Amino acid sequence: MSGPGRVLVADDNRVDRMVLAAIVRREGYDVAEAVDGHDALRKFREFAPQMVLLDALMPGLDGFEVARQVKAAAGEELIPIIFLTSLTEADALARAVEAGGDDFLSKPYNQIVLKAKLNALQRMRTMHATMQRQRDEISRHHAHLVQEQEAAKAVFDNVAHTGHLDAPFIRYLISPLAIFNGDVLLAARSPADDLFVLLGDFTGHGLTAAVGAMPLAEIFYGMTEKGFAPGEILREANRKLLAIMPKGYFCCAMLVALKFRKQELEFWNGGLPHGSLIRNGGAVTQLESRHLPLGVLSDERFDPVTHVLPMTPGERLVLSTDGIVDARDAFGTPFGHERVDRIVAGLSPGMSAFEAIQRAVQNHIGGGGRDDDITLVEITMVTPVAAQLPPLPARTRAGDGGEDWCLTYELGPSSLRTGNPLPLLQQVLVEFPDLRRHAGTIHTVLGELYSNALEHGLLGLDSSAKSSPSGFTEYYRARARALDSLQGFVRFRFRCRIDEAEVCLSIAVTDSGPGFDYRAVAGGDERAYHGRGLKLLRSLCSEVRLQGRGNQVEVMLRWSHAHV
Amino acid sequence: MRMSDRIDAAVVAELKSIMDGDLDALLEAYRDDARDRLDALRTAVRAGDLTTVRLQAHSLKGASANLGAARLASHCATLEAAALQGGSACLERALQAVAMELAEVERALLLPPYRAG
Repeated sequence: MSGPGRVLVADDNRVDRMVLAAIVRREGYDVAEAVDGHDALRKFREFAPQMVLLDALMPGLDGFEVARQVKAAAGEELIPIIFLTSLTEADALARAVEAGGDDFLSKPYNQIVLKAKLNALQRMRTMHATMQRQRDEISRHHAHLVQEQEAAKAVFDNVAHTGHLDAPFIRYLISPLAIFNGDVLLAARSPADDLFVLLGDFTGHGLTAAVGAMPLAEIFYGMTEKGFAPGEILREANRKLLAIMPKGYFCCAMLVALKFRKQELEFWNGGLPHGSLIRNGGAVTQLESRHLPLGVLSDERFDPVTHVLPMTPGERLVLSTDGIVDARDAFGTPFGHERVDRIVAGLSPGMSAFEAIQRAVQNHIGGGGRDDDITLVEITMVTPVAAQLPPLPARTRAGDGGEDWCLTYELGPSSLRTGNPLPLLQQVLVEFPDLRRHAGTIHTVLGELYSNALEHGLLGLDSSAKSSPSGFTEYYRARARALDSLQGFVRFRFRCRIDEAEVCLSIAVTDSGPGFDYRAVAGGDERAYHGRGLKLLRSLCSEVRLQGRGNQVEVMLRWSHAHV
Repeated sequence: MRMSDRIDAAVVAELKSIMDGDLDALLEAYRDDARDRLDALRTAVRAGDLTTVRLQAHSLKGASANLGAARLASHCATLEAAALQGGSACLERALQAVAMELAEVERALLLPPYRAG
């Protein structure tokens, strides 16, 4: 506001009006004068004053009614009103306050007193306007934030649907906005009909936690569905989170696999409070954290080794993030591990740990306390029938000799130059449920066989050149040159046999190159195999055979069902 | 009756400061206004119109107080209160007091402290 502003003086008494207008003008305000109530409302509309000095008793419309209409017209803006009335008239004072009067001025008028009142009300006006502006700004920001959170939550819900959490043997509690306090709870069925549950607690709140939760959910659901083992899922999740999260941000996590057919529990705990496995007799086994959280260690140092425990129907698993441990009462005392452990240890048979813990936490934080940050899961082991598992497909268990098939895939020069056939082959192979579980091994073996056939068999490159940096560059230049003038083919032949006992996959890769004299070095000179990746293949496969003139390698992969 | 009871010199000094020493227009307005109100009061008292008596007495009270005519303001207050209570004998007496005091004030307006001696 520039300049002191505009003031309306409304009084039916000419002398009083003259005196008052003179005082207000001396303070630098623009003044409009009104001679009665109706005139006051008219001048208020025309002159748009920021303050109004109002005589209470005027013929026609009195000051109280004028005040009410002025306040109504002002809306959210503050238009202070000073009533011109003597402080001895108690009834008039009460009515003036009720009508919206902000202050009073009694006769005879005094310059100093009025100046002080005008200044005070002007400051109040400025403060009010600032507050309104800030309030509007805050509510705008808030609306924006809520909108963004809703959008983020919608995206997250698409990625991390909770479908498998709704099974009758699972009870869980998680805030609808858990994603923003860093908690993640995911459940999925593996191809072997095991139930995988991942409970995660990201460091920090808000966007960082939400951002990390997305890839974690995607990896968990994607890999569980494809038949990867818990350890493989954890390794991939760790690698991904390490790559995308800022330094110092990580995810405390517990992955449990409930194997209904085997009546086993497999778990891995990295940094979460210990889970509790409540035995049917009431004994409790703690599932301690033996690992660092996801997103801390490099891939080489990451330890995905899981632990397996027997778990029979009726036995229960209770998991939580540190929201429960940290829940504070009115004095700031946290709920603590010990309370959780006491409740779990003191359960009478058939009593729900879930309800007992929830109730105790509620009592602890007191009425009206928020339990937004609490994530709690109780899972009961059930029989395969109660888990409503579909019966296993007959083909792998019926004693009719199982399944066998053969697949040949040959790449000509143009395919070899332009494309990488491995993803396609990998995708085809993992379509078979029994092979899906071994996707990682298959991937490595295929990669070794293919690069062996292409780079050594067809292109005749010597990978020992790669041992120096300049040689490395030279190697890839030579590879590009050789590819350009490439002739010939690489052929894959897969034979698969699945019976009651095992899955057996043979992969033979033949190239049209000259081969090499593998017999001459079969006596044990491993250097002959140097750079051909054969050593790695031997460690992964039950058999590795060189055939023909050295231009064909056949490997045999075997997995017994019991090993699954 | 002493001048100091009739006219509040401090209020007049304040008034001079507010009006930049020039009281003429204000005093003239007061005189015209006060005569009009006195006429209106007489008519209203005769007619028993208590509301008009109350409003006119209230208005004359305020203006007189602002001008420093303390005793007149006080008589106006008495009249205003009488109109509120509704006793007509009191009303006549109070109106008489106002009329007599107004005549004194009108004379005083021509003298110090309003005018330079």
